[in-house]
Amino acid sequence: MLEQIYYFSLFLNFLSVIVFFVFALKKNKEVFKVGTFLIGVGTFLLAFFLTLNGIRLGYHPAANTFFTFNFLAMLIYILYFVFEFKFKVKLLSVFILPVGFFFNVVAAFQSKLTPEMVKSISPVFLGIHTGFLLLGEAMFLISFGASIMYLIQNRNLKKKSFGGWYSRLPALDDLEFIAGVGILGGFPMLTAGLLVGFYWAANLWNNSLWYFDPKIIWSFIVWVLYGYIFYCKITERLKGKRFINLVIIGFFLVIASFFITVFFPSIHSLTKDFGVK
Amino acid sequence: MPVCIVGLNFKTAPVEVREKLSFSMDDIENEAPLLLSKPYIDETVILSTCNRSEIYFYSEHPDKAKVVVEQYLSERAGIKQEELADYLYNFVEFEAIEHLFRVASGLESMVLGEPQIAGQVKDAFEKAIEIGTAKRVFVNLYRHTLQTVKIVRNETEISKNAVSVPFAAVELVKKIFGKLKNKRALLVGAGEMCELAALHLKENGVEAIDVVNRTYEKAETLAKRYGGNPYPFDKLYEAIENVDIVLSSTGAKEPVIKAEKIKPLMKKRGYKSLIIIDIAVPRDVEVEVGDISDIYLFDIDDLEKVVEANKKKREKEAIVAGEIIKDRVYEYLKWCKLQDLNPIIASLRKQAEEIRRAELEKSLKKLKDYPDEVKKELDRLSYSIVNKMLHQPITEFKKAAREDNLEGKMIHFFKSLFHID
Repeated sequence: MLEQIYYFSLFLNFLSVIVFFVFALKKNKEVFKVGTFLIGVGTFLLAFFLTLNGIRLGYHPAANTFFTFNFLAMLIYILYFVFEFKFKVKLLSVFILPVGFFFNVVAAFQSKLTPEMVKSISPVFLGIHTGFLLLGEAMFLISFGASIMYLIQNRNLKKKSFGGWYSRLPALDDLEFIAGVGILGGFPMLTAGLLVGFYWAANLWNNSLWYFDPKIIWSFIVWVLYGYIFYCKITERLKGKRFINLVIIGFFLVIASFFITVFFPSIHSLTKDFGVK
Repeated sequence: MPVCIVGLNFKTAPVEVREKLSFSMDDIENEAPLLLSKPYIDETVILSTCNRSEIYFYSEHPDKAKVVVEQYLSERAGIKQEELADYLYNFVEFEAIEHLFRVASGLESMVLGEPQIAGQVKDAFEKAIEIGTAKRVFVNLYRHTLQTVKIVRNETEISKNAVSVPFAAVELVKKIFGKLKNKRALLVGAGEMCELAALHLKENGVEAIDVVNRTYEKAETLAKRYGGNPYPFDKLYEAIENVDIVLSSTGAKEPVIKAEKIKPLMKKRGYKSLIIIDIAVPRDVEVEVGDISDIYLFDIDDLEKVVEANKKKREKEAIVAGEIIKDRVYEYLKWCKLQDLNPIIASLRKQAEEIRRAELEKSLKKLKDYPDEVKKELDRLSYSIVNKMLHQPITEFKKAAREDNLEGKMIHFFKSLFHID
């Protein structure tokens, strides 16, 4: 039964992504409403599925790739709703939701088994660590989506193409503002998530060289870059396209961090030999 | 009884004819009651703008009334009736109401979707209501017209995008800055179009407009008007450093704003976006300026391009608006039919009540000695029977009207069924 709920939600989310693309082409308000309804129900079912699993397992389910990616997808969908409600930028759906759905669908092909080791370690730490990080990353995705829209609109204005999406995309400054909100909200989350992770790792593996893990080093690079973007935003040091470019680079690093464990052995590889020796 | 129009507009008549049939508000005040006093015309509204003159009238005999109005217009213009007929159009009932809704929504305007016409329609109807030439029918039609205009504006983008060069400039600026509050503009030179754009910017919330001019006195006068600072021409780049928007139209033969000088300026500005709108021909701004990051340069052709794109968008929206208007006309006519039923239903109820009262009195006389409770009960009983009997036919009658199934014959039948005049 649980599994059916999951696949049904996945199907609804898939449909909504298609519907939002149709909306992008046809700019019909009714189509947008249909898409919103679909993704609304889909998100609700996904959240329901994850909650039930959390209750069944007795801990935050983000302990394997399947749950982690789905949890991230859910956060992205929810954040999309928050931002759409706040800023009323309908086209944001086209730039945000497909990425959410990407994680949603990649998750479906992952093993649903949870490694034995993870079960034995602190579920509270795991929940806080992954929760903060994923929420931060979802915020960065919003920034990324707004930034892509910024680049398209900037190109329209520079190349003087006033047809098509020119009139539907919002003003550059408004898009930059949304990107800024994503950074301002996301960076503290990222920091909190990493700090919790460091504290937890230091306690768990006190004498080992856990910090030489590729994912941790990569995360540190990501943190430094976003720290710089955050600093630039607060001090208004970087504006316009320069700021937007950094946001986009930052997000590619985030995406890479998800898949880095595929190429390098890491304590974050959720396989049998989990954990450092 | 239908609503009708006789009129002419910029599509059907040249200005020589239109000017002879234009009505000022004073003319309307004098002539509308005169028109109303003529035979077959029960209500009238005169709409006159520089692009159209239209007589809206309500008549039981549209054909005869049409002739009366045409005669009147021919006399007023001093043009023979046969000759004038070539310039006139005439619509009745559905088409007339559709025409009114289209006119008020700007669909029949020279500049598609322009919003001023709605105000002119409003003035015309309000004048007619004030002087009493518009009565029940036109007062209601007026209400429906205003609603339609509102719906068309909300549901389509017919009046949304700029279709003139100065407005296009403002639209572009808004596409970059969003809100114009706390933004500062600079006027370089003083072309007419530039000043118009400056005015629109100010109306849209730009904080102040500085002015650079070769004649410093002129700069001072203009700067005072827009609440900004004047600059002499050699301080041009200093002036640019402090603003977000530059509007340029000087008579210079060579570019006055050069890329090599602007580039270092951008660093000083902290790479804050700068919009430069160059309306001058020959152009005031070097083309290379547009290649600098965070500078958005638009020349007169770009603005025309925006206008063209927006006109096309309006044409598309006009089709949607036309459909909305058709629906609104159907709704209005349905509403009218329901209104026509009200007096019939009212007299039916009145007649039933009279019969009931008469019969009740007869009975009460006979039942004099019975206690009051019995009399009261008798009253309630008769009332309840009459109402329950009438409920179904009235409901069905109204339903038929709502569903548009009610023909004149049926109304007649209904009346004779209950013996109503």
